[in-house]
Amino acid sequence: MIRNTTTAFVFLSSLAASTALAHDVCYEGATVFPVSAPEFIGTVCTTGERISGLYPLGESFAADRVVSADGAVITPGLIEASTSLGLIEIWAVPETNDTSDGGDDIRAAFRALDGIDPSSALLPIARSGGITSAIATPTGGLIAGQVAFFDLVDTGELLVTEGERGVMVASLGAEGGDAAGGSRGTAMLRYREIFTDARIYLADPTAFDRNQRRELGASWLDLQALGPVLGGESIVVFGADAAQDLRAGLRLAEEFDLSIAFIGGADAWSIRDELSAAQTPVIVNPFRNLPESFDALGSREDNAALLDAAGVPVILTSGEAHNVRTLRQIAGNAVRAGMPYNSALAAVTLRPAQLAGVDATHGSLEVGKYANLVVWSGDPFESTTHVDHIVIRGAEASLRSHQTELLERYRTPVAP
Amino acid sequence: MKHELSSFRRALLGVATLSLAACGARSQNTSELPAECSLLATEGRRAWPVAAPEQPAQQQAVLLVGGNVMTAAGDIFEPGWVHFAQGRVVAVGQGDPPEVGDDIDVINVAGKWVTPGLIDTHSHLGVYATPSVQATSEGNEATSPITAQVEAVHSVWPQDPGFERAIAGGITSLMILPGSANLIGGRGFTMKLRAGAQNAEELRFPGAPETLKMACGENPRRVYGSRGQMPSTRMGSIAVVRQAWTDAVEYRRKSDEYREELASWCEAGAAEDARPDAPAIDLRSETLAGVLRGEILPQVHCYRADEMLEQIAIAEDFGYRIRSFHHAVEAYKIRDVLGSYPIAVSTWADWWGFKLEAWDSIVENAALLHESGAVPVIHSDSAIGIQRLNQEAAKAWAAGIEAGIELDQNDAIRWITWNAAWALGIEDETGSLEPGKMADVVVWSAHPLSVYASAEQVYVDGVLQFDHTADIAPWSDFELGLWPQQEDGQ
Repeated sequence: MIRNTTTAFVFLSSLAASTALAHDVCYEGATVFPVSAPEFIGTVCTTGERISGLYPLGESFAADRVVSADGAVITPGLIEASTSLGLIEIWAVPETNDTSDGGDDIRAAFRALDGIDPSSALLPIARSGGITSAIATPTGGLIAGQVAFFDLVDTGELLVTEGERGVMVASLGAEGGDAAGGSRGTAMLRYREIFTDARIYLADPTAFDRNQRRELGASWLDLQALGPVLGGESIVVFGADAAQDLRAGLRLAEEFDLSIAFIGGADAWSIRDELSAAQTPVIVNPFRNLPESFDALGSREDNAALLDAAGVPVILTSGEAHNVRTLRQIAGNAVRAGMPYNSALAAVTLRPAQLAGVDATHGSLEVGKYANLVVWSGDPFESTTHVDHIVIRGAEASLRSHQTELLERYRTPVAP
Repeated sequence: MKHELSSFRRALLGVATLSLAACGARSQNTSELPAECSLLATEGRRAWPVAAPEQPAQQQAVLLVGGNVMTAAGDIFEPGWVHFAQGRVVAVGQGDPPEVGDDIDVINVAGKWVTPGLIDTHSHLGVYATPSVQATSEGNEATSPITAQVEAVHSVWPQDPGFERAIAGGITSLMILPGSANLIGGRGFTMKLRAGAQNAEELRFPGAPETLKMACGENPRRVYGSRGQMPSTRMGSIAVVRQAWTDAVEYRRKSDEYREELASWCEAGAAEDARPDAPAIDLRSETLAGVLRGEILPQVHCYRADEMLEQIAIAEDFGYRIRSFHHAVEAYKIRDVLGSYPIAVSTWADWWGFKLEAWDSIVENAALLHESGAVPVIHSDSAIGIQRLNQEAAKAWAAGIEAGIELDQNDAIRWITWNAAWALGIEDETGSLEPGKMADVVVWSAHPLSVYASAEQVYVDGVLQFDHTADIAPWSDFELGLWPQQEDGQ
């Protein structure tokens, strides 16, 4: 989880020596968790959109503005790895729902990006929980489509970061079987058909255009979109809970040379050695400890802790849109269930950035990365802690929201 | 035989808690009188009699010492001690515990925190059990918008794996409610958590008042409107509900009249040729009449402020009192009204936005209600949320403090203990650590408002029902042998 600590130390010192220019803003005196390096007491500085300095206590720096963060905790902004944030306004108002493509089961060309509303009322409320970025994730179908990684800026701009690799979302297990119109086996044969047809299509798209191909198993748009998946340039995140379905995913990965991750993973702890050997990321919600479905009979709250201890790259998710702000509570509960603190923090910062292939710019506090950070009043996982400052792309983002306005309107104490 | 049972039930139905009229009958030699007359003396609260569940007796008196004790009655003893015996709290205090004899099990809980057992006023455990499949979907009798005759207890599957998870979160009592598809969904079931019940009835909270689930807003109009049936609008909902209460008033009048006639007839010697005619019994109206008589506590699912005010107006018109609103995300807007009754408000810390009527939710809801003298309660409505009500209360509490509302730690604990008990009408029995109350006690690994706190031991009626160190088989038969590899993870 933590990168080579020696390198990090050298990196900090050399940085201090080379600060001739003043930083825009420095947050001073906090316990800083860079995530990619060990925590230290000190200062984080930003210039423009980027992090421009990290200083252990006692090292000097120059800044146009210094914000005291005495006794506070600074972490990278939290990243929700799987959410409908931006894609949904109200679940029970269907016209506000842009989470899925209707129609057939293969929706590989569907892009979450096209539906994200960057001025959604949900965004400032997510920010109040320290969320600076989210992976907007399509739902439904056998292959649901492509995610979008975006920053929760308060300007109404849609700031999507194209990852080094794309992320495709798909499902296995009972849900996959259902989407494929049959059972688990149907889902598997459909995957094999689609992946094979994608190869056929991509080998010679013009032959398809000239109608010189047999009928293929999905629309040409979808087959085209599957190109980066075959061979592992893009990653496929399979929704799967049962061990048998996780293993089915591993088999598909081998058959078609896919790079994969799992979301759900109720039984993942039971095959953690296999997952660790394959270094397959698993996106887990540690609240899940009930045999909520027949796919998830193995659910247990220490799933994330067990996977982490076995060396599986664990990512934590709230699975929420409106309440994505509970991600820090989720992480706290993972710790309560035995996951090491720093691992849980990485599981809501650096690891989701790595999953989306955006860790060159996101997920940790390193000079040159986007200044996406949170100054917390204390331990970010504690409910009694609040966000003092949230910085996204170098700018302090507003926490004003529908809810803060309501509070203000109704706050005046009533006569008893 | 069949006829006898039927007349027994009918008589019981007719006499639901007419205590005053019953006094005359009680003084007579009832053995010579017909069954109806002896039943006049019964506190009949339910449509049919239920035997009081057998309580497992606390064999061993316990003294918890060295830990920090939050009584939920205002005191926080750091450290303190709690003494309980025979299922009841004997004494609670600060500092050094009293000298006790060898017959008491003295348990050192230094560094731990002790609170009353938590209470969830809104759960669907058992009626929407896990695994969540059609076969366990038992919470909504969604065949008519008024189903006051049904009782959640009859849908509760005692093998729901969720019960054991709930006690592991420090829950000792909870109310199971029907869902909100119907305007009047049926009776709730107030219960305690305990291992080994073969029947939900065994878990009934002894002496708890009956409750009735009601609902307004989006759900009933969606469920029935989608079938082209009334109600399909809010105005339709109000009309249907007012008609039900109008009918119930008339039913109650006839029922009361009969009971008076019956009482006089019994008193006069119960001559066969003068036996009063019993009115037809309708279980639906029987429940509503119970609400009108104040015996059944209404629990009303409502999100919006305007709808809560409408529900209060209906209650005033028909002469009943709402005990608790549920969900009530806009309660803060009318907290002066809710505080003056008072009406309890069972709500979440931070759920919002999943439907339009939940759009104006704010995390400060509970704190603002507290400030106005209302009775805020943090409820779960979730098999996941019920496992961490302490964390949910912590969120609502922290938001209140940040908004400048005066709150102490006792307040936060009260939102998930005493206030919840009040909403269910069981506050004299549980909900705080005070002498004489049920020994429902939780020992936490850390301060219960911390996300890292886990319930380590949970006592229900003085009996240790959950111990995190105990390597025991699951409570639920359903989970037995399901996952033989589970051991690998330990």
